[in-house]
Order: sequence, then structure tokens, then C-alpha cells
Amino acid sequence: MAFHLFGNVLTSYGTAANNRGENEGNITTLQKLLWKGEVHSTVSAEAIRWALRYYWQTAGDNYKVNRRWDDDKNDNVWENTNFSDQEYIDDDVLGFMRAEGAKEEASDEPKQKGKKASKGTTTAKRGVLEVTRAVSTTPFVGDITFNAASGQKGRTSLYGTEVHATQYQYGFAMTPERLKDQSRVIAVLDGLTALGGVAGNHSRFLYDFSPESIVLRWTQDFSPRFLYCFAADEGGEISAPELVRRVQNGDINPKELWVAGSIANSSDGEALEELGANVLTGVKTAVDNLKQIITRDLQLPQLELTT
Amino acid sequence: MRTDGQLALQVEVPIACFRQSRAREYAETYSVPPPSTVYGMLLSMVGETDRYKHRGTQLAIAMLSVPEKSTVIRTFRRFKKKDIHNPSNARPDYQELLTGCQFIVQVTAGNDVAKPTLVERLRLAFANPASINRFGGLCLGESRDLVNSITLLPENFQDELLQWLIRDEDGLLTLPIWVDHVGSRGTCWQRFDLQKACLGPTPELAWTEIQSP
Repeated sequence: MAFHLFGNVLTSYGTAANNRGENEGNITTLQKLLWKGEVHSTVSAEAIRWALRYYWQTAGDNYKVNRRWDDDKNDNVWENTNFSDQEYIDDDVLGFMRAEGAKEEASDEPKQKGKKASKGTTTAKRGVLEVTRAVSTTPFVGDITFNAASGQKGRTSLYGTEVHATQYQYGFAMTPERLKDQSRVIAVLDGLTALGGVAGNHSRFLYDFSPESIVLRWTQDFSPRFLYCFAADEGGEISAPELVRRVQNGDINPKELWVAGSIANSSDGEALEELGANVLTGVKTAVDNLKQIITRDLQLPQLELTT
Repeated sequence: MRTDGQLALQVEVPIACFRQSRAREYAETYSVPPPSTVYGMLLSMVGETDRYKHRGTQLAIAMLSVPEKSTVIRTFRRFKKKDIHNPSNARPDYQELLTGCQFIVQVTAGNDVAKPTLVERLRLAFANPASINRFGGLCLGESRDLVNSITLLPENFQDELLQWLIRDEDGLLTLPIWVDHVGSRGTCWQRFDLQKACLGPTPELAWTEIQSP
């Protein structure tokens, strides 16, 4: 018997740019994919996971991270290259892999009798937290800003950047019982509700990636059934018709759902509340409520209520 | 004729990459989920980590959608230098992604000699999810490619829009039915073609047996 935590997060509205796209000439492009027949911008799961690790590094809650970001060197620094999922929260939650090459070159030549072929080794732990790619709620219409580098001008001083004013949604899944320290599920929830600096323009703009709306499910079902459930109309109105349909047709038990943020004030939010889901306007309150349920079900040390 | 040793599941995966067996730097994707990948997902669903356990299980896969293909750039990890965070161990490369993948997979015990069979374990998983001890997000392909939903279909389901993956030695799709993760000597492929369905029983050539070499 295993409890799973599933989530679908909708970020607030912001301008995303310069997010790990390739360059085409002097235009910095955004990552894009076809989504329901139209071009949408997208943010990789790695970028979200990186931001989560950085949150733990900087949150000041005594989380120990193995891969620490050094702002001065602009590089990652490992505390312990042998990894320890007992000691470090990121090794435990996000997993790791250390590959050792073969000590000598493998060869197609026949081996001498009694001599084993050389092999490499790996030390790996699959990440307990799975994060999906974030996809914009609205199609990308091709907005570009043109800019010039400051200071001395040269041949490459003029450049353009694709920007997308939109919201993103992404999903996540985890089975806390797979963690070395199960109470780290609380740190994951804290991190995901306070996430920043994912889809911005590096440090030039702040794109708040914390949830404007969120759906969480604490269940023994094997699949979330609400990934990418948020929809935005032309006026920016957010709804979740697919989520309502799934609850109505009995695929999702409403008691397992925590729905929070601006979606709570929409007609779909009201419909979900009528169907029996836990619908709250405050994301933090909803997450705190769910943390208490998780603490009870996993028999974790009692949490102190923050409210 | 459906029997107790057979079931049909509808699977929805919003974003996926079924990396082609021979793809190197440019990570192309197959346009449909290969039988080996679907078999792995079914094992994950019931919490089975021994992939040899249910060899002999037979699958029949039918597409419900034509997934859209996109290309993104991402970081790939490789082993070049012993120092784990040496920059040469990571490089950006292109990857193809499929979006909007929906399909039906029929599962029958076939030559699965394990007791209980994979089909029986899947039935139990639907009847009583709490009895399953599994871990990790249920995914198809890479671990970030989470499955959104799997639904058990009624016994008499019929859909005119199905496109069956039919075994065909002249087919244009060469898909793995067993993957050897250390080297590729043990990887087995079969050739398939996508064919429109006629209402009626599952075509005989749609059944593929999962077999290791």
C-alpha cells in the first residue's frame, strides 16, 4: 500500500524569455512545442527542478543540499561526489547518477582465457519527485523585443529576444514512502509553493513560478488524471473543465483533492466544492491542510501549524 | 471473444519521447509507443521491477490520436570526464517530443507463465489500487513523461477511429519489443504498419508477444 502525491500547478502571469532556447542569428528564441494544434512556449522540467534545489539551498530551513549553486563562480559545487540520500535532501528527492568509466578500454578482440571484459559502473538513484515539462496556457504569437548591448557598440550589439506574456502549468508526482526521510515530502510542498526564478529572462526579470492556482491529490491511485487540466480563455479567465468532468464521472474521488488559488473563485471551483473537493482560496492554507493529512497518514512527527 | 485473461486499457500521455533505438545525438522519437515501452509501463503500474517476470504477455496497441511532433533543445548527460561536474559531461542537443498521445492497449496472458499473470495483477490494481505497492510517477518513456490517466475499458468497447499497430514484415515502422539496456545485442525489433480498424474483434496480426532473446 502506497500513498502518492500528485499536483498540477498554474503559475501567475508574467513575461517569459530567454529560457534555454537555442539562438537563431542574433535572436534568442524560446522553447516551443505543438500543443493541441497550436504553438505554445514551454519550460523544461530540469529548470523547475533546478529552482527547487536552489530554494532549498537558500530557504534557510536547515536543508542540506549536495549540489550547491555558487553565485560567484556561476557554477554548481558538489559537497560530496559520492552522494548521500540520507544526508542531502536533493540526493533523496531528485535522485543522482554517478558513472564510472571502465578502467581499461573494452575491445572487440577475443579476451584472454579467464580474463573478464572491463566494465564501467554506475551508482544511481531514481528521483522520487517527477516533474513534467511546463506548457504555456496561451499560444505563442511571436512577440520579439529588440535590444542593444550597453557600452561600446560592435557588430553583435543588436539582438532580439522572443518574449511570451503568459502563464505556465506543469505537473508533478511522488511516492513519499520511497524517500530515505519521508518527512521531506513537506519540504517538496514548501518548495513548490514558493518557487521563483524559473522562466524569466535570467536575472533581468522576475517570473514568479509559484502557484497562482493549484490542484493536489493525495491518493492510492496510480495516475494523477488531471495533468494540464487548467485552461485559459482569451480574456485570461482560468477554468478546469476536464478536472470537473473527471470528478463528475467518478474517475477522481473529490475527497482526495485540494483545489486552491484563483480557480477556487471560478464556476469550476464552485462546482468542485459542491462535488465534495477541498476548495480553498489560499494556496498556503490548502497546502498546510494537506500537510496535516500527509503527516497523519505517513505517521510523521507532528507539524507545527504556521497559521 | 474477450476472456478473463484479457483486458483493454485506454492510456493518455500528454508529452512523451519514444527515443529511436538508433538515435544518437539527435534524439528522434518513434511516432507511436513501442510495445517494449508499453510493457515497461504496465510492469511499473503493478510495481513489478523484474522485467523478465511476465515474458510471454501479448499486447495489441491501437492509436486513438495522431500525436503532434515538436523539437526542443535540452541538456543531455554523458560520461566524458571523471569529475562529475565537468562541463564536457553535459551538452545541449535536440530532442523530438510527441504531444497528445492517446492509445488503447489490449493485454492478454498469452504465454505468461507467472502466477498471477500480468493481466490478473492489472485487474487487481484497478479493483483495489491500495493493494498495489508501486513507486515513482507512472510514465511512458522518460520519467518526466508522466501518464495522465489509464482507464479500464468495458468488455464490449468498439471504436471506429482506432489505428491498429499491425505486424507486417514490409511495414514502415520498426519498433523494439525488447530492449537490452547494456549494449544493444539483446534488443529485438519487429516491423509494423498502422492500419485503420474495422469494427469487430482485434486483428490477429495486432498481437505482439513480449519476448527476450
